[in-house]
Amino acid sequence: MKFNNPATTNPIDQLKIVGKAHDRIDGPLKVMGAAPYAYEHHKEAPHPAYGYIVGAAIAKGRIASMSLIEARRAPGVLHIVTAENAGRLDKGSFNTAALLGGPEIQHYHQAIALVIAETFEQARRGSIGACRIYRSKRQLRSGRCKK
Amino acid sequence: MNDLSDLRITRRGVLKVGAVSATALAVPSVTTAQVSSSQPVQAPVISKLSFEVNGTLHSLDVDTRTTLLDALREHLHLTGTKKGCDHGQCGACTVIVDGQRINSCLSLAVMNEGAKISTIEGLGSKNALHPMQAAFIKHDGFQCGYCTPGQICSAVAVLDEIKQGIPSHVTADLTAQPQVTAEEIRERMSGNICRCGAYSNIVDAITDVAGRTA
Amino acid sequence: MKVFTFERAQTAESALAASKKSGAKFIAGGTNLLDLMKLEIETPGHLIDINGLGLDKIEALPDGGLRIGALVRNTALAADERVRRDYGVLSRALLAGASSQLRNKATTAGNLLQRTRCPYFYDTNQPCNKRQPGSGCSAIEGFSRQHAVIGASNACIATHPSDMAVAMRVLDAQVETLRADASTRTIPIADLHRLPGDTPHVEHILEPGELITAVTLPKPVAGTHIYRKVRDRASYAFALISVAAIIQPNGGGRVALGGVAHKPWRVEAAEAQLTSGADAFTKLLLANANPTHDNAFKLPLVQRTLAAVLADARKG
Repeated sequence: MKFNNPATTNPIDQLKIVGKAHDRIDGPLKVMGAAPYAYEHHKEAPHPAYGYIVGAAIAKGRIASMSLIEARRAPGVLHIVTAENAGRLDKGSFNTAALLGGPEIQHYHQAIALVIAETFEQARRGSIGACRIYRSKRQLRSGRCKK
Repeated sequence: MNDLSDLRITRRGVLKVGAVSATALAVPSVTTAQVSSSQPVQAPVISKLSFEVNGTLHSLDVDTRTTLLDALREHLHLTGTKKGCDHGQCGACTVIVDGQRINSCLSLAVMNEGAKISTIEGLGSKNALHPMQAAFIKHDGFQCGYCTPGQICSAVAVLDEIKQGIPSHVTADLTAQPQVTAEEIRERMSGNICRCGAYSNIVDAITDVAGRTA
Repeated sequence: MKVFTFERAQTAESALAASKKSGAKFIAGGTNLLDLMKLEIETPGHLIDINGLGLDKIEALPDGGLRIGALVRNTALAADERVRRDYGVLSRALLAGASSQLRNKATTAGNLLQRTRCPYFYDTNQPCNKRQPGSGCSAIEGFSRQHAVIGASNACIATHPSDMAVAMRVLDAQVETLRADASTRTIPIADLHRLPGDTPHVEHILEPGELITAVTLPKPVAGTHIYRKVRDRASYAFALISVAAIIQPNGGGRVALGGVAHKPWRVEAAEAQLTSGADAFTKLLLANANPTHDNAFKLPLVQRTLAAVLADARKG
């Protein structure tokens, strides 16, 4: 498709369907910032822990080994979830890749570990300590094994 | 069933893998990383701070790494302001600090000592919606609603900035008073992105409020 | 983000003293530094908040120029009456950059010192000679559409992302600093940023602990002031290339380019040829350009953009 001519009007511009304003039951809550999304239920779940995802550093291959000694020692870190300890890994019918990867990597930055800590900042810092070595078709790569 | 045996591959097994290129030189450093580091484990630095949010003074003890965004959401439980990207690219975290809109994800809480902060929660309430909030409802300026608080805070600031005479990239005459046009609104709102694509209705909502306050 | 201690400096002296601490860094707006700290590309152990140092004024200078405090916010600088009237190219360049939220926080000095947005620099999984000297440059053999076409090296082809700096280069700005030993110096903007060479991790000539206190502009240059930014989106995107120009009625003037190198690109010696037109001038301006396959389009893009700028200036 070549964009050589200016776009003129089309049926959508009538705003009879696409773009037509609707009254939404959640509208007032959303414009007030009062609609609660995922981790915003502080009353129902006080003192939550926080997770930070470690993403695969290769697009395709396997995790050859993963050392979590440093990550576990980081202040505030409570637990680290990986494919090794997560139990049965499934995916929804609309997912292409597994949400938690390992040892096979299906895409770049696929989640391969979740570092769980008392605060967000501690979980994020803890994730730096996860040393991963990958074996992909062409070479050995290491992720974050240098300080 | 996942084959997890490779996760326990030995050092010798790693070295045996064929086709190791120059990155095999990384292997020695990898093996040393298996030994625990001699660096001391650093505990968070906690700092006291106080600022005013929506007219109320708050005093907090925060990890110095805490952003203003996380201080609002996690410490004060004001979850109206959203974390979209945490890197200043989406605008969902837009709040107004000392009269100016900023991305609260790119400001440390401790940098806001003594500041006056307005969030979406402070703009209006159920029985007294801010005109911009009412306009967003009337013109259906959202779908999922996650960018909405940032859009509304920005929109309020946009009209204020035009009133103050601050020019924009699309202002034809730099030295003249900028006008509220669709082009100006779109340019000035460019720091707030909407994955649902409610932009056209957002522009309608802002135009509506601008018309009424003109 | 690594753990850090934090202090608010009350005076320039205390800021300089604090900067001697190991791992200390100044923070002003923080819009680039915090971004990089979250990714642990920057890892200061001590932050010195310099927002309270009173470096936020814009003052007229006796010679007719302007002194812009290092802490003046981008929005305030772009909106200043004198800048809009007399240094239009600077106002336009500032308004072309980032978003309103970012411009409200970003400072003059921070804008100059901001670091590249090369995606390989940002991805800590990839080799990068800026982040880890000697590890290699992923961009050279990678996706380099947005990277430098001139002044680069085998070690690094990153660009400097600032729009403001390009305008300041065309305006012959000077950067005033305070050094760790309390002496001051003035650095011409052309000398502030370094080309990568063999040491892409050394991006400017400031010494450790050296604090930019102000940027000065000479008295206004008459002519048509234009900042033309070419990018993939109409707003909120970095330049593929940009042109900052002050054009005289005779078609001559001065030109600086953004998006093509690790610093604003200007060749004063070639400017006498500007009256010969965009084609001839661009050949001189970008002589010895060494683009990659991905970014070779930037060369004709510069020439055509400059031609458009000159045509706009003629209209008037």
